[in-house]
Amino acid sequence: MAQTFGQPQQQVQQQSQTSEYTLPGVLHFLQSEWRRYERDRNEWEIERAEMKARIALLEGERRGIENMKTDLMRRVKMLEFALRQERSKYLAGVPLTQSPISESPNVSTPANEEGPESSIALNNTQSLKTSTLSSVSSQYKGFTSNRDPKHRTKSRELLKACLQEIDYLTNAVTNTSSTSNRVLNYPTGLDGIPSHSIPNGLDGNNSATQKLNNRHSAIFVGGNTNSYNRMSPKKPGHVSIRPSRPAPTSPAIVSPILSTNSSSPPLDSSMSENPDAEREGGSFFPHSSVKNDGRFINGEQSSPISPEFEPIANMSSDFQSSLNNESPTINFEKEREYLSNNDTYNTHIKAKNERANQVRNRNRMKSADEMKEEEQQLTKDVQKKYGLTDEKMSKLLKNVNKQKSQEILAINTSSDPQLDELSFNVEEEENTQKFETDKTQENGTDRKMWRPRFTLRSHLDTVRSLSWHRTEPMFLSGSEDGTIKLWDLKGPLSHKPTSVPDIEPSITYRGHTAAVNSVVMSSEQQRCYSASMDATIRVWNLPSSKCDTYGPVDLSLNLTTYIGHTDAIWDLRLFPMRSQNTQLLGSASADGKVKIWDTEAGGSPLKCSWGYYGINNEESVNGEGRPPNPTSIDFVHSDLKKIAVSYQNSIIKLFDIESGQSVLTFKSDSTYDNTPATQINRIIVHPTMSLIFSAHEDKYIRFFDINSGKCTFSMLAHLDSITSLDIDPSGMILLSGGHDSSIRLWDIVSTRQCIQEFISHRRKSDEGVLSVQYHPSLPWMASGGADSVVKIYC
Amino acid sequence: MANVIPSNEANNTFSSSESSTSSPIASTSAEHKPALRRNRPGTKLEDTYQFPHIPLDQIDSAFALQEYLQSLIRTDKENLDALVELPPGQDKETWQYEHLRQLCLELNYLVVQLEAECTRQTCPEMKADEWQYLCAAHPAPMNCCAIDYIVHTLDGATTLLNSHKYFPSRISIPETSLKHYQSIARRLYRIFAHAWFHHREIFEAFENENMLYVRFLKLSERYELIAKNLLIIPYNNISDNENDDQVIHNNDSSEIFTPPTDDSE
Ligand SMILES: [Zn+2]
Ligand SMILES: [Zn+2]
Repeated sequence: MAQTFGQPQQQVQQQSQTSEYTLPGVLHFLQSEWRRYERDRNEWEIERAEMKARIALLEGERRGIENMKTDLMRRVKMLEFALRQERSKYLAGVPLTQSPISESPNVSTPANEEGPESSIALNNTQSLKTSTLSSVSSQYKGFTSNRDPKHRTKSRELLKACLQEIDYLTNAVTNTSSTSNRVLNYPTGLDGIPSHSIPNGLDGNNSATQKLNNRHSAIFVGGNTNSYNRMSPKKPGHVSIRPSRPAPTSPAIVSPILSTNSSSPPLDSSMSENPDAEREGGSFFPHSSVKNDGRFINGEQSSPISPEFEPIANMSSDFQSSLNNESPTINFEKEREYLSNNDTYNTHIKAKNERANQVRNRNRMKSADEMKEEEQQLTKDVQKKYGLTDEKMSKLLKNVNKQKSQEILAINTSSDPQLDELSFNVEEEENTQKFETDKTQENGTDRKMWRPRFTLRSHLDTVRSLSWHRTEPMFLSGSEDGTIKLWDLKGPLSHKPTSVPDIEPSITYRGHTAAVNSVVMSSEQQRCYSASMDATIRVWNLPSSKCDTYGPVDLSLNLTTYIGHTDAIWDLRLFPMRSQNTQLLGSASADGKVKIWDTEAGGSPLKCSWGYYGINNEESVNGEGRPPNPTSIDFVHSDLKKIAVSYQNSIIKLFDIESGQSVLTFKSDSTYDNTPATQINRIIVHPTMSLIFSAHEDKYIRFFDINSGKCTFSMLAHLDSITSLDIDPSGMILLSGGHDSSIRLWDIVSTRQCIQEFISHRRKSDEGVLSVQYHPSLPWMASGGADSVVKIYC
Repeated sequence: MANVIPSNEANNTFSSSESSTSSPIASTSAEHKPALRRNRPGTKLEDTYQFPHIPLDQIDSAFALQEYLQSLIRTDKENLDALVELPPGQDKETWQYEHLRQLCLELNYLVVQLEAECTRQTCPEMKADEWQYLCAAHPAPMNCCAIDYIVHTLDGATTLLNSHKYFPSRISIPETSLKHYQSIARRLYRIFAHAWFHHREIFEAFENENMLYVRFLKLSERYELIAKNLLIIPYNNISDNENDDQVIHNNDSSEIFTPPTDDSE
């Protein structure tokens, strides 16, 4: 640039040396100035077009990532569900008569009727999943009919594969979120162009990268297969594959297809058997723009690009040479020519940009269907390029898949023969460790930062409890004003964030005669439950269809009332699994009792009730005063026969749900000083790990191992008492709210540090935030506070 | 095992005035002495809200007036004058606002009682004495049945009082929003009126416990919220239920519809 600029300047200097301004000289100067100006303008326009393309690209990517995240979450849930089913199976020891898969509303994939082996041999990730699930279910059948150890082993192996799958999927989620940042890291303006088509471009070239690329290409082939076999494009497996692929290199991914065939390690091996490679792969993302050792371009990787993408490549080189202002070789003639061709050049550039945009947009912003189409196109292109026949192609793809399924089988068969002896907890710890390593790599890089989206005002006093619908953007809020309100955010979501009018609840449930302390929504049952200081639990129907806020009063929504407690009820939890004819509900009351209700029971719903010392030892054990009241409860996900109960004396106990006997007492009262100022306010059990978290009135959050009852971690987490806890759907972040009005997010798997913190509600009395809740499947979060307000974050 | 306190635990966390009492320094000394005004999980019903009544100027909160009013009600709900009297130094608009919110809050509990008896069958129209009312919660006034009218009116009033547009702050009320006080009060009054005329037992049981109607009446007198001629519940018959009949208004017309303009906002 500087050198070309130098040209006219020199001329000016020469002229001034002769100190004469001749007409031709001035004209010449003006001409050259004008040329320079035009050239600059061209550059700017090109740059502008580039930037525009880039914005479109990033936006498209973002949308894609969000969709994928939702989808992955759903799949994780699905797997978790299967896992839980399996667990409860073991623990209950009572064989179900029906496959749990068919019961689950979440698992909509067709259950494969073949045996586990044959289903595993199916050829894409989706079918891998189906096979895992279906083989779990078929194992199940085997298990119910025949309890022999062989089946157990098999079943456990499958479960392990399942866990790995979960692990992988969660990783994919986190990797995904880094994509956008990564794109920004690219130093050149020519983003979106395959890295190795730029000379001396970015490369990040080590074996890890290569492995990673191979892995991605392997995955991509899977995707191709998907469309090739004309399977449904809606398959989650298809979508979930995408995010882990480094976005900017997408065109290049086509090329290694052949190499995949012979050498690339398929996805599962790189994930489960090669943790090192994975780790490096993970660190690849943030550093990609820094590493520069040029080894990237080697034979296989630089193999021809499919025709569809050639325009980009052409353009880039074309573009670069014509833009190459750094080279001093542009002489006057060339420049003149260049200028005379200016218009054509411009249109040329424009056309190219547009074309590139189109390609890119098609590439990035495509919906699932478009992606599928494109994959089909790609498959065809590759076929054409290499002169492959259909038969050959399908053979090739089959090979790839066979290899992959072999790998999968290898996992199953090569797994430790002693696996039998391993408890699930060990497996979980493995998982945890893996999470930890993964987490450390991308710690602090690409985390979602929550921002307030809606403020919902309708309650007249402190909002004490919230509960989301499992799938819909819909939730319930319970308040000290004695009402429960159902909110549907579908309407408000359609508005622009700036123009959302006051949001009204879609229904206000009235029935309690005192403050409502806890609400839960049971999406499967289309019901909700509320517990109040009036000592009752009320059961409500969700309105059947879209109900009008000012429609007729429908008393049939008020289903029934559970009477049994004799004092304020403080916590209510739904049993995490609904089986055919039972849906348990637990309640904790200031009458000292924890009660279990069967909400589907025909007669009396009350199943079980016990006090601090268990079911048969009422008050007999204690010599001094009345036993403490329960403050919070939660079902133990890893052992569904148990429920954890926290008490006013800061003790957590595990009880057997059926017998009502105390099973384990946690050493959780290390700071208890015999006043309520040190009690536990809330507990929550981790959905997959054997961890329980407690929120203390004296500002502590503590982590306990559910099996040993030992405190594994303790932290002073807020500036005032902590009232509420929740765990994000991925199981990696703990959310806490406190009377200091703040909401904090904690990394629970690795650093255990605060990730985000914000002040959210205003204090009334000495209370601040009273409830925090993640949406189970959508990227939403809600909080309720003493200021009578509910806030929604996204 | 280290105590992890987030690095971004910034001072600005507590720069807001309402939370200054619990700043780290203050909390160690102050927290254990005055009982905290909170209901902790596990608290027995009889022990809830056992906060000492403290003067308004000592309540350090964005919702001081609401807390003060609720505390007054808990302390002595029979002392109507004290309940309604404007606390010194406060402006009467915000005081009325808090009263109206509290009224809606407590009316929820009256509706719960009414729902047991007042149905579309028993009361197909919203009537009180000889009056019939149209529901104003709809784009055009509708002839909702009594329980619908009651619920819609209460929901509508709650929404209006919570509206960010009309009541953006609880510290100062926009001049233009004051006119809503009267319409809210007038409509909520009809809920009492219907209960009194058609569900007397429920009304009296509720009133004995909460003294909500007399408080409301006092408030509307003190701040002239409802025109005298619209107060159709006989005046002296609340505390001493003697002979009601003689005091009933002499409305000749059998049905008086409130004009739609009256209800349009
Ligand atoms: Zn009625
Ligand atoms: Zn109506």
